Amino acid sequence: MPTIETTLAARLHARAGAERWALPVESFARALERSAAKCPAGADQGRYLEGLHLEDLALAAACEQGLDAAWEHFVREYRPALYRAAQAIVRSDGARELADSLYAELFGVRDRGETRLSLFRYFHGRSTLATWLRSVLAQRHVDRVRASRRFDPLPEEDEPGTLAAPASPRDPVERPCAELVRAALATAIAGLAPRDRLRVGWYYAQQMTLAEIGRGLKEHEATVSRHLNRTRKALRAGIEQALAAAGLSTAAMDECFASTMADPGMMDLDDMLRPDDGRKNPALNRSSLEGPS
Amino acid sequence: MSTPHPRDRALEELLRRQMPQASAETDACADPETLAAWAEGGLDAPAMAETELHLSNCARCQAMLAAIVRSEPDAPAAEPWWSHLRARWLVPLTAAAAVLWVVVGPGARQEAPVPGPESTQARVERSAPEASAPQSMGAVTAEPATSPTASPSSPPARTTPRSQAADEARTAAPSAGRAGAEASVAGDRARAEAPPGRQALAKQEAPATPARSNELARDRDALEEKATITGVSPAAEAPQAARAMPSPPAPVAGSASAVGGLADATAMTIPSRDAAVRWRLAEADVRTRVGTTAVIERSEDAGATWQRLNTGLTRRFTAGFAPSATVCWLVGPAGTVALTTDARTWRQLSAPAPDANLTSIEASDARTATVRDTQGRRFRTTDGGATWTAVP
Repeated sequence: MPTIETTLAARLHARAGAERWALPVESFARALERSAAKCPAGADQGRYLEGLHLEDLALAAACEQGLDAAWEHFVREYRPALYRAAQAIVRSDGARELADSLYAELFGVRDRGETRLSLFRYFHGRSTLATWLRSVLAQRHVDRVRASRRFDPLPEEDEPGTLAAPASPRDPVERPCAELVRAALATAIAGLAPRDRLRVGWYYAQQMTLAEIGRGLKEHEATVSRHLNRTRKALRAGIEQALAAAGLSTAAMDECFASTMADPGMMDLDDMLRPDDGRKNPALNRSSLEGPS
Repeated sequence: MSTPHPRDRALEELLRRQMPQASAETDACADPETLAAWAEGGLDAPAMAETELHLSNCARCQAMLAAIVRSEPDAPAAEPWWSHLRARWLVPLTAAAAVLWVVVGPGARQEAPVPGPESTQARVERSAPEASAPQSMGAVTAEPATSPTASPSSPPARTTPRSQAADEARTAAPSAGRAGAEASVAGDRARAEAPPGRQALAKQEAPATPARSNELARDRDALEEKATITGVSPAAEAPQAARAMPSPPAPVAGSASAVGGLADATAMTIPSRDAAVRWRLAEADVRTRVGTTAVIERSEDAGATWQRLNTGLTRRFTAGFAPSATVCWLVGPAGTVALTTDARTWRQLSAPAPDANLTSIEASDARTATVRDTQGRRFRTTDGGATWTAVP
C-alpha cells in the first residue's frame, strides 16, 4: 500500500530530474517506497526522502527499468569508474571479471518467471550511486577473498587417510606466558572504544595506511597516528596489568612479550574483534591447528 | 621523537600476524548501501554509531570499507589550504615572520588574536627540495617507492608513526611490508638501504581549520614522532578504463543474488604430487578434504576424525571450487570434472574437451561453472556440466 503522497512523489520526481530518463512518476514512487522502508524508526519520512540522493535514485530506477537514456548515461558516466574501482580494489587480472560480473547483475538477470531483476533495486538513494557501486564491488571482492582463504593446503607429505587429527588445545601450563598475553590482549581489545577498535582493525588487519584510515574516518592522518599510538599503549597497559595480576615480575613480563613475539601461536583476532559472541577467551579454546576461517 | 617501548614491538607483531583480513558475513553485517552511506557520513547519528560499533567488531565489514576507501576516484589526502598556493614556500616564512612580529614587535604587547590557521605554519619544515612539493600536507618528502617489487598498481606508500615496528618496510617496500614477519625483515633491509633523505624528520601540521586547532596541536605532537613521511603515490589508472565500453553483457542465469546475501564461493588449487586440500563448509564442524588421487574425506567433528567417502571417482584432481556450503566442483587432467551438490555424493561429469587438462575452475552454483585448461582455453557450462561451450 503506497504511503507516499502523490504530490510528494511528483515533487521529488521533478527535483530528481527523472523526466530526463522518461521515468514515470509511478515508477519513481515505487523506488521511493522501497527506500522509505529504510527510514529509521521515529524519523520524519518526509525529511528522510528529501535528504536522499534523488538524482541518483532516479537514474538507478530508470536503469532498473531498462530505459535506454538512463543506461546510456550510466554506461558513459559510471561504467568507466566501475572498472577503475574494480582495478583499485582487486589489483590483479580478476578486476575486469569482477566488474563485468557486477555489470551483468546491474543490467539484470531473468528469474524463472522471466522477469528481469536488476541489482539496482537494492539502491535506495541513501548514498551516492558511485559510492554504492564501489561498496557492492568491495562486498563481492571481500567475500571472494575470504572464501578462498578457507582452503587450507596441507603439507605435501600428507595424504588423506594418513593425516593426524588436530592436536589438542595447547596446555596452558606449557606456555602460560603466551596464553596470558593473548587472553589479556583479547580483553583489552574488547574494552576499546568502537572507533579505536576500528582503527586497530583497519591498520593491522586491513593494512590500511594512516592516510587511508584518515580518509575513511574523515580525520587527518596525524590524528589517526596519534590515536593508534594511544590505543597501542592502552593495549600494552592492559596486558601488563593482567600479567602483573598473574604475579609476573617486570623481567618475567619482558620474557612473556618476547616469547609471544617469537611464537604468536594461532590466536584468531577475528574472535577478539567480536567480543559479544560469547567467546570471551577464544585463544584458549581454539585448536592449535585451526586457522581463521 | 619518542623511542618505542620494547614491548610495543612484540604487541605490534602479535596484532599484525594474527589479525584476520575478513570474517564470515553475519546477520548484523551492514548492507553495501549502509556502508556507503556511513563512508559518506550520510546516516543519522544513531545509525552512524550503530554501524560504527558493528564495523569495529567485524573484519568483513572492515575489509569492505577498506576497499571502498581505496577505490575512491581521487583519494585525496587531507590538504591544508596553503598547499594549493603556487608559492607554498612563502607560507612558513610568512608565518614565521608573523610569529616574530607578535613576539618582538608592537603586537607583542597587544591582546593576542585567536590563533588562526596561519599561526600553526611556522613550524613547518622542508626536508626535501621543492621538486617534491606537489603533495599533500603530510607528504613533504615525496620520494617514490624504492623497492624493486613496487609496481604501478602497488598500494600507496604507507605513512606510519615512528613507533610502529617495521613501518619503514611498508614505506619502502609496500608490497613486501604487508606480510607480518616478512615486514620486519623487509623493514630492516629498507632501513639499511634508505637514503639519508628518507630518515629525515619531517615536521608537519594538520589541516589548518580553526575548528580543529586543538586537534592540530595534538597532531603536531604526534607527527613529531614520525621519522619519515612519504608522499602518497597516485593510484595507477586501470588499463581497462581506456578500453571501449562494450554493450551490457547478457544476463547470467543464477547470478542474481541479493546484495546482502551473496553466494559463499570458495576456490582452491590442489598442490602437485599427492598433497591434499581441505576446506571448511558453512557448517561449523564440517570439513572436507580432497587428495589429488581422488580420495575425498569428510569430517563432521571439526577434523578430529575423518571418514573416506565412497565417491566412485578414479581420476586425479588439480583444482576445485565450492560456491556454497554443499556444492563443490573438482577438475583435473583429461577433462576431468566432478560435482557434488550435497558434500557427500559425487558424480563424474562430461569432459569439456577430451584433451583439456583442467587447472582451475570458478562456479557460481551447481549449474554454472567456468573451467580453464593448461592451454588457456576456457569452457563454460550452465546446465550442471551436461554441456560445455568454449568461452572466447
